[in-house]
Amino acid sequence: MTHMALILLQGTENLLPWQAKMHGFLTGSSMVTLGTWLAAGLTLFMFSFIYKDNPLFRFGEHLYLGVSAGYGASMYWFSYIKPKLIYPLVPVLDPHFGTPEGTLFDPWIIIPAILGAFILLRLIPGWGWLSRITFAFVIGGGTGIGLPLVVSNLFLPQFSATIQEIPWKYAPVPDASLGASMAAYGVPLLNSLILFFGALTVLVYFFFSVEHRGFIGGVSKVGIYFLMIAFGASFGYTIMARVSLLIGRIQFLMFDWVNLEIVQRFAAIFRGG
Amino acid sequence: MDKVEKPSFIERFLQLDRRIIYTLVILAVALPLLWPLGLPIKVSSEVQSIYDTIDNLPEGSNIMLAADFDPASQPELYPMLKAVMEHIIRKHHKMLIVVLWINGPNLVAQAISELQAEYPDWRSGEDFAFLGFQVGVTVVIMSLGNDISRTYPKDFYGNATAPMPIIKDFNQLKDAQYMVMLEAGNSGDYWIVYGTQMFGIPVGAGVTAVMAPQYYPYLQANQINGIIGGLRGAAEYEKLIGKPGKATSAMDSQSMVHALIFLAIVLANILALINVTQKRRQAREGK
Repeated sequence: MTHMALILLQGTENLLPWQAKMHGFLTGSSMVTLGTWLAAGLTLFMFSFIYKDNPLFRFGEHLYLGVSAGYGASMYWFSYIKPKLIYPLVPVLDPHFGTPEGTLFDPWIIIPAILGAFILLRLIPGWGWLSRITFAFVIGGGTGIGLPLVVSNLFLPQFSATIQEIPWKYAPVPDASLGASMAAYGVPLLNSLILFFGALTVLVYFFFSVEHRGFIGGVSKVGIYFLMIAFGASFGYTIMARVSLLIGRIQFLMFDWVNLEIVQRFAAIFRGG
Repeated sequence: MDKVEKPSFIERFLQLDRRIIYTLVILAVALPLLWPLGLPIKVSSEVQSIYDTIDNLPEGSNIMLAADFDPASQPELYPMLKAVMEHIIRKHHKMLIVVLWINGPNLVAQAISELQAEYPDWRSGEDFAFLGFQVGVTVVIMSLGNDISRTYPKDFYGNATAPMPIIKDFNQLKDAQYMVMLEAGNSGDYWIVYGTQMFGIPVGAGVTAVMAPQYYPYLQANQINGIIGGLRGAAEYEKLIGKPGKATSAMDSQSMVHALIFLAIVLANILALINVTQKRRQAREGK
């Protein structure tokens, strides 16, 4: 509710009487309570799918999608379309018009506005070809800007890091025993070599121009094992992420909706805390 | 009539109703929240690195904070956001906050209002500026490299950014001594390619657990100097700033569910193996 109030009143420094009333209404304690109950109810609707598919779950699912789309559209309207398109073309509509903070008239905005409108023409049969002009501009510009930067700031540092980190030369650690010195050198060396051969074998696995038989087949098989380890790590992290979301919802249900802190306090008394 | 063979205990266990497993998972989450176990949280070097960088910067340094997430990843990234912001406030650094995800700004606004209640001297426009959301990921990042107040003429609250004292010394991305990006998706890739690498800014990444494996190659290549990964990373950061919050309280539940899933996987595989062996033996004897 507070978020809704912020969106509705965004960009207004001095609230009009009706806006102030609405702000007070939406951020008032009774609306916060109602919001909590609504969120709790919808959370339970979504959890009801655990038992089986049902209309309550479907309702919650559709409502979530609708609200997200509506919220996103309102954010685009208030934070982008109004200040970046409408105010520069019609400065009189800007609440700060006539003050130093007011938006100045900018006729050049009409060019991107027309290009943007061309994309919408895809919906009208016979006019859709105009959108190609916009897409050509976006794809051409995007590729031109992106390609050199992606190569220099992403590909090359990643390539070089595969070999760069290998400690080629043994350097004894000062004031350390031979064993400790060897370990300090050996462990990073082993890690670097695993990384290097891992990257190499996985690349061989994805090289389909040569039949995967004999030596190449063996190398690509090692690549599969490296991939499996990577997928396993990803799967572990994914479980952690999904459980985190569940914990977040249950924390909300237990402590924001039903105030179970009282139960916690009793439990602490029984434990002698 | 043929006698119907009763399924064995193993077969019945392998066909366990999934709802029983769901119930066990919910109990494994809920019970430690009520009765915390206090399992130890060990700080990883990846999280420590981000903490140390912020801690060792001279007072008043400029830090860029990107909060590119939305309510779907709130349980993981919101505690991280609050912990990192609180650390920056305590060290009296200047902070600019930007959001590249459309549904994210209000979460940042909520964190700011909660922290302002605790730190009333922390002022918008002087100590920090919340610039809000702007459309066009790549263009926004590149534009921040040129002129921040032109990219964001107004902050999230509708105030003009150009006259703000913080903007005087922090009007380009390269003015930042450090950057922390909190990412629920791949916006971090864009920050690295079009921002931090281009302007030579050291950067640390706080990411959801799902995204963490994708960011480790950047750490290995020294393109980022640390990773705060998922709820666990948030709990570690809370430990470092000495203020246990929601992430810390959730870690016992996280550990219990992981243990439960681990046991379930091991048990199901052992029983499946026994089942297959028994069936093979029965088939051989039947011959």
